[in-house]
Amino acid sequence: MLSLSLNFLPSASVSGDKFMLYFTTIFIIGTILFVGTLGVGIYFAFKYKRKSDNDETPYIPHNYLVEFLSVFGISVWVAIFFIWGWRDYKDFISPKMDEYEINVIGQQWNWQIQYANGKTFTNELIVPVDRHIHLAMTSKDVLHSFFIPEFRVKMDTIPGQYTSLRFTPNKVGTYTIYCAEYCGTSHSKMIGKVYVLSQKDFQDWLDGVYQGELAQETKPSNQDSGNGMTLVEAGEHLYRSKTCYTCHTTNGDTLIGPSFKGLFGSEVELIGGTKILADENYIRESLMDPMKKVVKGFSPTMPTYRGMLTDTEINQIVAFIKAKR
Amino acid sequence: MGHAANINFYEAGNKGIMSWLITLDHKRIGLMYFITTMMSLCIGGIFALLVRLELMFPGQQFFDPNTYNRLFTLHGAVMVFWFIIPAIPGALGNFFLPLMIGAKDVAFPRLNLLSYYLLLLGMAINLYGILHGPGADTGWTFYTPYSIKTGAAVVSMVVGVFFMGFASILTGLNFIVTVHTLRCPGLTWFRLPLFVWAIYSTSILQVLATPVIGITLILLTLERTLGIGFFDPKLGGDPVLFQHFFWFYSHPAVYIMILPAMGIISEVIPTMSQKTIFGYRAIAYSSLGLGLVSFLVWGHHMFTSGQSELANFVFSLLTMATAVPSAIKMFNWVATMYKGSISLATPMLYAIGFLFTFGIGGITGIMLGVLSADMHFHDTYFVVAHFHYVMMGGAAIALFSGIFYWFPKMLGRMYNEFLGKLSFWFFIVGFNVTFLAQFVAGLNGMPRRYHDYDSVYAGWNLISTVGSWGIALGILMIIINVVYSSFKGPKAPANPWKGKTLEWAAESPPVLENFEKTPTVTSGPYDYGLKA
Amino acid sequence: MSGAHEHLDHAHHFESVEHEFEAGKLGMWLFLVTEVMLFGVFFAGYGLFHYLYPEMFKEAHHHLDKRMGALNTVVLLISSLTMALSIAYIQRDNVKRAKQMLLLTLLCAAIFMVVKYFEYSHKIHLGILPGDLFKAADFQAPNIALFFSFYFVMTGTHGLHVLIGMAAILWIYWRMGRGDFNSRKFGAVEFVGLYWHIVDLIWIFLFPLVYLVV
Repeated sequence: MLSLSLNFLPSASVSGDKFMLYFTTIFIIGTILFVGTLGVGIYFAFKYKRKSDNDETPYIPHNYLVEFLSVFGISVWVAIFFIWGWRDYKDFISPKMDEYEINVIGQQWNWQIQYANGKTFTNELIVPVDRHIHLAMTSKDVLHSFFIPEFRVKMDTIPGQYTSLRFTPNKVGTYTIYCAEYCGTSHSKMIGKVYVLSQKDFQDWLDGVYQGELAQETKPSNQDSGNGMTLVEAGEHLYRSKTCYTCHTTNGDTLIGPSFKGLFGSEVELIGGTKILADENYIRESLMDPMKKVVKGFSPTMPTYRGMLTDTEINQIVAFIKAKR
Repeated sequence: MGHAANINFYEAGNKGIMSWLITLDHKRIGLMYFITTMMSLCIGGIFALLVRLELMFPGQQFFDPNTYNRLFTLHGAVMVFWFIIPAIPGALGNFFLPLMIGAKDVAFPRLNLLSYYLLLLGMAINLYGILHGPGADTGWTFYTPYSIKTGAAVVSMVVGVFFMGFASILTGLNFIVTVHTLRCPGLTWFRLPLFVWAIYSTSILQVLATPVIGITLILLTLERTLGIGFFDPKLGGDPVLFQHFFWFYSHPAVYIMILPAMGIISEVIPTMSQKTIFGYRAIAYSSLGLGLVSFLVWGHHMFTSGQSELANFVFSLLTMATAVPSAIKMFNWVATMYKGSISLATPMLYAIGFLFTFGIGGITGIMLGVLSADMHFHDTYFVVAHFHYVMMGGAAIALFSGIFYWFPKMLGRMYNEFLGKLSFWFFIVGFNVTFLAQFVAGLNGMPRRYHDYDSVYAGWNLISTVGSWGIALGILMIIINVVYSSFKGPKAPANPWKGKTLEWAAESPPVLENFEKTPTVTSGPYDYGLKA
Repeated sequence: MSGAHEHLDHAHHFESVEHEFEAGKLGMWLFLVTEVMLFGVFFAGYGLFHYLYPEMFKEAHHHLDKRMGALNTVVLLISSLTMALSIAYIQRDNVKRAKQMLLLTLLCAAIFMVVKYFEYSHKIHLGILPGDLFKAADFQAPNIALFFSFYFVMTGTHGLHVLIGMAAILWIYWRMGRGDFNSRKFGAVEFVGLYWHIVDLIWIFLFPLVYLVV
């Protein structure tokens, strides 16, 4: 059956609800403005239709009052919607307290979704309802865009960088993930599902005792998943196997490089005096291009790990450093 | 006397095909652009129909995903680079800009001919890639790193666009100099017809913005051949930098397409209403203003690309600001019709159609400029529908309006009024059906550039495909009308619309150097209804 | 105008030689704007990556020959002077001197290209090439090929402009010999001069940015 309803996409997140309110308002006001302007135009076209070849027309080159009022009206209208949109957007991108973090890696043509407990799923995202979710996302190959229409949010994933997508689901249910940035042959098949569970079900799921349908549907990927370890454990494993500990301690002592203790989320001062926030992107960058942003008081001696760590392994190391904050 | 009076430019001078191919006459070059760009419209339109056919129902219909990806890429690239950018400045600008300022030709006629051949060269290179290779599959935006990695023929596409960009730069340069140096006596800046103002603003954009895309596409070529790494994250490059460079051109390019269209509407409405334009200076300044602001809003194509909050704030604010000059123009056009003597001949029908579709394009543009809403709309069919309303519903409709308006002047014959009106109704109904349906699909989350889609979007996609046939019929009727009337239409008088701008003072069609005697201007361009 | 004055050719859609000259000059300036935008792209990209990879740029930098770059700067500056002198001479109807100055300009341009040739061949010998062709091994910083890609693309594009300029100078030299120019009609000489100055000016920005700034 063909559906022709105008607005059939439910809203299932806080930003989705805000979007609906915003869009409904701007749609109504926009329609009034459009019908007003065009209605007048079409009315003129009939009212002042040519009667003879010698119709007299008045000479009205301008009318400053009308012009001023229309410019002023449009400016106010636009300003209100800009401020409204900016506030909603600000709320959407700002980090929130107590976020639940999940890593996402886009690749041609599926989504790898990694949880803190080390489990990785393909194209399936399971989140608790009414919690702030933060997706730390990157891409293995080309640009993708992680789009959940029911939540009215999307963000591109970029190879070699982290981007963030934040949302707060507020309805239990199953929703869609699309790739919205063109990425090649199977772009339109790069589709996943979001399962929003009640907070209790989600805890059960984390504990491995959830009995719903979902438990059978998820298929852990065998790809570099860390052998059943959590992300932090796998990160700690890497910390030892890659011998990071020879330069970086986890107890606050300073060796050749800065200690990981309390590092994540802190502000560090670089050689040259600029200060930057030690976030996911900074840690990734330091692994790939260690010479680029060296912390003040240390010499630039760290080798690069470009090409030696997978995106998943970088996520594990970031999780490990995060755990030491 | 070198040539007798009243011999029009078709008959004056040399005859035969070579006299056209090596002509320096702006009118002949304009007509060659006209024929070329209308052929481009047909080619791009065929790609569009094939894309819509594939999307008629969910699942695979006629083309596999790789073929489909090439089809929408070619549709976009052909429509943008072969048709909309060169069409109005190249065809109507070339023909009418010198006429409207009372000049004998453009400032650099040889450069003008070179521009035309650079356009043809670019097209030929593109065609080579399409016919002798796999074609490009990147979308017309060529985003890196996909455009670096794909096995498709990206190089022939971007090198072709480089040459077409060169053509566009030289046309713009030529027009700026023409407007500055070749205005006839008495034609002050504020007596210029608004079409001239619009072409002038457009030319500034062409000169300033096009070199950026040209060199960026050459860098993309070097990226694919030498791996220079500027845009390749694997080599330390930044893929988002490409987007910045690309949109630094391609956003002003939107105004390269729409400003001349607005210029045409500013000619057609006062003449067909026999009433002076309302707010001449506001329209002239808003053309320049839109041109300038268009350089500062490119980032609104990148709200979800991980760009900083501050950048998003500024780009969104400036984008919203462009609503003001656009709205001024809308109000002024409607106000011009007030108490006019309005003829609803084909050019005016298309102009009113322009107000309708451009109004929708503008208001949905404001919705897209809003940051929070764009998080949802970006890269969905809402965007696709929006820019079709601006490009097709704006630039193309205005072009059609201009074609019918100036047809008597260009060809010396009248077009067929019945067929003209019929084409309008087919086009406008087909167009709105096609793209209103896409607004709905996009509002409900259908992403763009999808070969296949969820069945919830099936109804609206079917409607959209059916609508596209209406557009095709409308355009077909325009072409039949133009071709038939060129040969069989009744002879046109010099000034069928009782226009007051200078081109109507010339013969239909004009003589070789436009005017028997250089005209002198003593009043404004739209002094209808002015009691002496 | 006296009858003794020779007939001056100008395109018939202009009123006079001066009118045509004015139009040509505006056109030339607009063309120079497009050149600035073109190199603006390079400078913007170079600036971005300099900011992203200061260490890598610093290291790569030591492998550029500052003396050769400086020599080329001096050579180009001299060529700009001789170009300007050539225009000054033709404005005084001194065709002989104007031609000599054009030859000197050409000589400087040729020296510039020869120096460039030595710089390039030295780098190629060391395996320092743009992009995929980069083969040099004794570098520490990652992605160092990126710097040399910029180096070759920027100096290569500039070098191409020098070659085009040389062709243009040869062309007006030939026309000058034919007697096309005099104190009233010297548009093409002036326009090629303007072009030559922008090529020079771009090098004045390019040299410190690529060779000197660390």
